[in-house]
Amino acid sequence: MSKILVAIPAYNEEESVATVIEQARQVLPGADILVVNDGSTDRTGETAREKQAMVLDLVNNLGIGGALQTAYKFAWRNGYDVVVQIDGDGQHCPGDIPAMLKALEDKECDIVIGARFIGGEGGYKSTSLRRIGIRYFSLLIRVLIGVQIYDPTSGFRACGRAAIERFACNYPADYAAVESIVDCLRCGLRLCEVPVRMAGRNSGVSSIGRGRAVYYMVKVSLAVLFNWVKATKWSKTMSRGRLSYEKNTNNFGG
Amino acid sequence: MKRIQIILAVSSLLFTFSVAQLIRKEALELKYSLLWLFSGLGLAFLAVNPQTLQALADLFGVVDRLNMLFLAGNIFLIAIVFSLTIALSRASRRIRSLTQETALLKIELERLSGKPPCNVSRNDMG
Repeated sequence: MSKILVAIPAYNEEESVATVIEQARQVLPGADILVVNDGSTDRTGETAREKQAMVLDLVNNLGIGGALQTAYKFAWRNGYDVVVQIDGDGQHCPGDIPAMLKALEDKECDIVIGARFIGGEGGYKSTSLRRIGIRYFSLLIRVLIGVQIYDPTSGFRACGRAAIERFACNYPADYAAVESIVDCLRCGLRLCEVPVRMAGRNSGVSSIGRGRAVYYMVKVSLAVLFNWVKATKWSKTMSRGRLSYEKNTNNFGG
Repeated sequence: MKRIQIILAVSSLLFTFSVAQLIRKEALELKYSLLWLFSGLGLAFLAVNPQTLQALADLFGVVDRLNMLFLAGNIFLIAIVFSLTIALSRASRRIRSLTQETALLKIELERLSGKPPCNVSRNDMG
């Protein structure tokens, strides 16, 4: 049986993180649950510990990209086969994880994205601006790489071993979701999407304020473009990664 | 030599000296302060030899040599800010990986010290 890690990045999510942990454990009793506490100033870390999750405490707030990369480094060193990343704010439903894991196996993908549009399931009501953003990034990726990704902004993903290795070595720091897709596609990893339900946020504030959305779109576009022309080659990073991330023998899993 | 030339030359040399002093006390790193050192010496040189400035102005086709000074100052400032941005990017990349390493080491330590911070450690002991 494969070792599964559920990684929950959380920044000041003390109200919702407990529910996410509980639901994830219910759905995947055999999986390890890791909360990446991204320098929260509230009781996120304590709450997660009370719920018996593993907690990675970051002393500085690194933002979503840096936090997620820590989880991938952890997974890589401790020999996990699959990482499921799910937001700590409760907008993703852990009930969808099994379907994503199944897709990871059946479709022989390296990364499965939980997408909110395909399949018409869900009833997720997003702001029109967000919809425009998703469409725009989707188009950008199709133009640049020629692959149709319906929901590139989704932070609900399941990653196999190859993707874990890639992310442990190299994860876009600032604008994680969209840029990491471009990065993976350029590295020849296979992506597929599975329709998921998405709720509105239970609590907390999105990392993207409404007023800054357009600015964000411009920044992410630039990040994507630069990733597209980036000098670092996949093979180079891979071999460097193999050297520095030797598999840890004392595993966390049971 | 005009009075302003003397004032400029002396203050530039003082500035260079204080930069050197800071490097000596290790308050400044040499690699970030090279530009400042050269700029202090360059200013002192220009103060003593204003005809160099005139020659430069003629070379660039700048009518007023004072404008040449402003142009050179601007270019120099941009160079400094740019080098700082590069240094900052490198520093933030290092801080990121350090933060990640400490977190990974902390969780490893928690596990090794036998405190059960998570469900998995409990399983290990049982």
